[in-house]
Amino acid sequence: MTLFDIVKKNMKGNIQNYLLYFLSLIISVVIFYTFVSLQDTTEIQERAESFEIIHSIIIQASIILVLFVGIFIWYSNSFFTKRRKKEVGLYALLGIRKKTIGRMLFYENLILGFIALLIGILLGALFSRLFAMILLKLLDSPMDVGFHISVDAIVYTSIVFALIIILTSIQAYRLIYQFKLITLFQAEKQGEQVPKPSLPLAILSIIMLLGSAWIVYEPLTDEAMANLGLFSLFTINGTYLLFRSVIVYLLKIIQNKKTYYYKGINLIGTAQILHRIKGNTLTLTIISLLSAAALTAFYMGYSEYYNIKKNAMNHSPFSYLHISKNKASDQQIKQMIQQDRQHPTLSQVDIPVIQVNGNISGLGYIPYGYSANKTPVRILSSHTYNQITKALNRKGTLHLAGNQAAMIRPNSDQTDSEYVGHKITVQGDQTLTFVRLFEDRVINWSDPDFYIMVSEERFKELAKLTKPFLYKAYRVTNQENAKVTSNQLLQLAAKQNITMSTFYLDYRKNLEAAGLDLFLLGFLGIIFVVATGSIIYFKQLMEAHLDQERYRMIRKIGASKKEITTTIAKQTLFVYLLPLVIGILHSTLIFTIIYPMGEVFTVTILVSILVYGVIYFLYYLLSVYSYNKIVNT
Amino acid sequence: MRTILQTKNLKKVYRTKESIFQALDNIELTVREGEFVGIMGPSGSGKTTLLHLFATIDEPTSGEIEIAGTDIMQLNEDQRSSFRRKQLGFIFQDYNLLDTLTVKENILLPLVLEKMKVAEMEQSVNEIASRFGIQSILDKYPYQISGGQKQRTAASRAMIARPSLLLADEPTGALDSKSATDLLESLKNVNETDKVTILMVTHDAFAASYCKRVIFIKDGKTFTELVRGNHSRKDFFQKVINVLPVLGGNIDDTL
Repeated sequence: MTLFDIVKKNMKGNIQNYLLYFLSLIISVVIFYTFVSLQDTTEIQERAESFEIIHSIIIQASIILVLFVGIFIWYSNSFFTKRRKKEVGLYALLGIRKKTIGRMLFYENLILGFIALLIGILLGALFSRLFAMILLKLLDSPMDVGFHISVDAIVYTSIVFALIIILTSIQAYRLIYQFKLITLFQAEKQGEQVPKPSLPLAILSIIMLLGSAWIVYEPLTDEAMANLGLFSLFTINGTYLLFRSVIVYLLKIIQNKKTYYYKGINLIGTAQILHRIKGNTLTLTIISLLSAAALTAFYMGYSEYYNIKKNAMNHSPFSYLHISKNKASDQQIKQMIQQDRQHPTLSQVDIPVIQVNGNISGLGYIPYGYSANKTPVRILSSHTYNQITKALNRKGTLHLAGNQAAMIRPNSDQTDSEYVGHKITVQGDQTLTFVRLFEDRVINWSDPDFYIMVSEERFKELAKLTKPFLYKAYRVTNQENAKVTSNQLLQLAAKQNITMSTFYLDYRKNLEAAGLDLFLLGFLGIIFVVATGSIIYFKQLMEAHLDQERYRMIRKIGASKKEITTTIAKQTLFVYLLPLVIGILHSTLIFTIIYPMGEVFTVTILVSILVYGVIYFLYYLLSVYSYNKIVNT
Repeated sequence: MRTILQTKNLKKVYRTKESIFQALDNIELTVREGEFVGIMGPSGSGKTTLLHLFATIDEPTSGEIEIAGTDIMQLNEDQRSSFRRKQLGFIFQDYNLLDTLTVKENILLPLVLEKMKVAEMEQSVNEIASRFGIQSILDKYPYQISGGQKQRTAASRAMIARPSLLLADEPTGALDSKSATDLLESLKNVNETDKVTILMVTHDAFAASYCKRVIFIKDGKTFTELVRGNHSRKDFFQKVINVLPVLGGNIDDTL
């Protein structure tokens, strides 16, 4: 038997501790490998219409991922090494040199790390196929992805993780130099001090948290960044103080409520939480904030995806829209559209448009890059507008007379008061007064997106001086999958130099961007959830080992196993539920800053909370089970 | 007989921001080969600090310690490791066994560090295990055996490399009286037959009565010393008991 055998044997015996660390390493590698290999998947490259964007987004996301994974591994490594303090101390006492012990820990970590790296890459190669298929499904082009191994992904993953593993191995090496041998002889410091509840700090925390909510609903300044900064400042400090003071305060109140406190073994659970909370304040704060970030990521990804169709409809109201060049090509296009039997034409409109330079200095809004006295203005007649609304199945008709004009708002945050009653001049002396503002576009967005409607008579007068050009617009059924016709039309248009846009292309672009965002944000979000869940789990395991003696004593004085299980379940619920609830509250606030309330809002939040809640619940069950196994058997 | 342990003018001072605490003051102590010495004192008297200094895991503020002819103050970190391995054995109140190794593996850990041959190891383990009466549990794990058996395992581990000095810190502290008696009998036995030098810190007068000499310390100073001589263990126990009230503190709590 050699020292190596002993170490090996010890590793086997402590498999539970090693396994946890090992698994977190493997999971990190799998996630990273999968992520990097996605950009190398030919199926995705072929399917995606804008692969360049996907590529750069994946690279950015993987940088965030490296940071996060690095922190996570570092964290679990320090938990892991701390657990072995006693063993290491004993080796030192029996006369192994510090350097030898350090080396032993270094190589152990190194070997463990590289085995995890190998397994992680193998699993990653399997999983990346699955993830690629999920991504393609989100991009609305589901297909079977063949098994393939990405050399790039292997190289990147190996480099990144070799670095992380070497760093953590050095940390392991330093363990023996970090504590004095004498600490082994002294009894393990039992618990931590109970923090003193401070009423002023508790009040300050509540004020800060309420303040952060107030900023959301009543912004202090017009600067979005300043508001976000203040919000973050209040949220972060408020959350820290919440755990530091408010929770302590509430627990103290529970302690004073003797009818509850002395019931069953409530006093043990409560006292336990109170003793631990000081050491856990920072972790709980970080986890609450990370949960908030993860939930926000879920929300954003999901609501964007949820809104794709609406966004595309808003951007391209018609299925196909082109500028008429000559009769022959118009006819050719019309035929092409009508030949598509899967997508029969619902309506067709000719839209004459006059484009003139106008003086819009009477308005508060001047499109970016244009001067107030010379902005291109596109003019439709109210009659055409009514035809369009009918073709698009929209409600309401427009009647204009004399100088009256209506406007389609160029930016979604503009209101009636910015236009109604204001005047502009076109063709030098024609003054128009706005009487209405419409929200929905009738023609595809185009810079500077300045569309106004005038009366039929006024339109004819203007047409005498400026010749209108003609848009031909088609609406077809199932426009979101009219890929073939859309591509044919775009090819034809490119050949003949015709301005053409299709709903399908816009929709696909949106879908790709949103699908990718949902995938990436969801991916990062899930990693956050898993990581925070694991961190709490590790902490619970650590505490279980420290509390073993205490529970044995409690059982000796007569507490039943069932009672102990109940108190463990309650304590554990506290550490999982609290950050989750605070995370949900924070993220809902952040989400309110980004998106105004609406139907999407509720659906998104419910779905995200459900996903998060389910994962946390599984962690919770695992924690209670493991904790119980350690102290209650 | 040769001197195993000698201290001169040993001092240990703990300084904190608010106060200075003199844990050990001018301790002069000599232990000869084959002695079984007990150190008694009330809580906070400095007895455990003294043991830590001998164990080379803590350093005195001033003074000299010589163990088996080596001035341990002159040793560097690596030399200390090697010194602990070759010259010292340890027994703790809470055993400090590795849960993942069997009793046998725990015992032969020091030999593994010495890179001894397997056959020799096996023989040494069997020898020492029979001394402490634990042959039957060699293949069990620490969590499968009783406290008394654990402590005898720890004692076997401390003895197996034949150290010059065995340091025991409250070895009977966590044991019931039957297990404590068994352990003390075993220690007495190896002390008498193998001439192993033992230094035991205890606040249990019964444990102390197994020693050949008991040194009492109070407030960091040597208070008095009792030698068993030709007295029976029972008489010696009574003599120890008689000192305790004079010594003060809460030492008689455990009686």
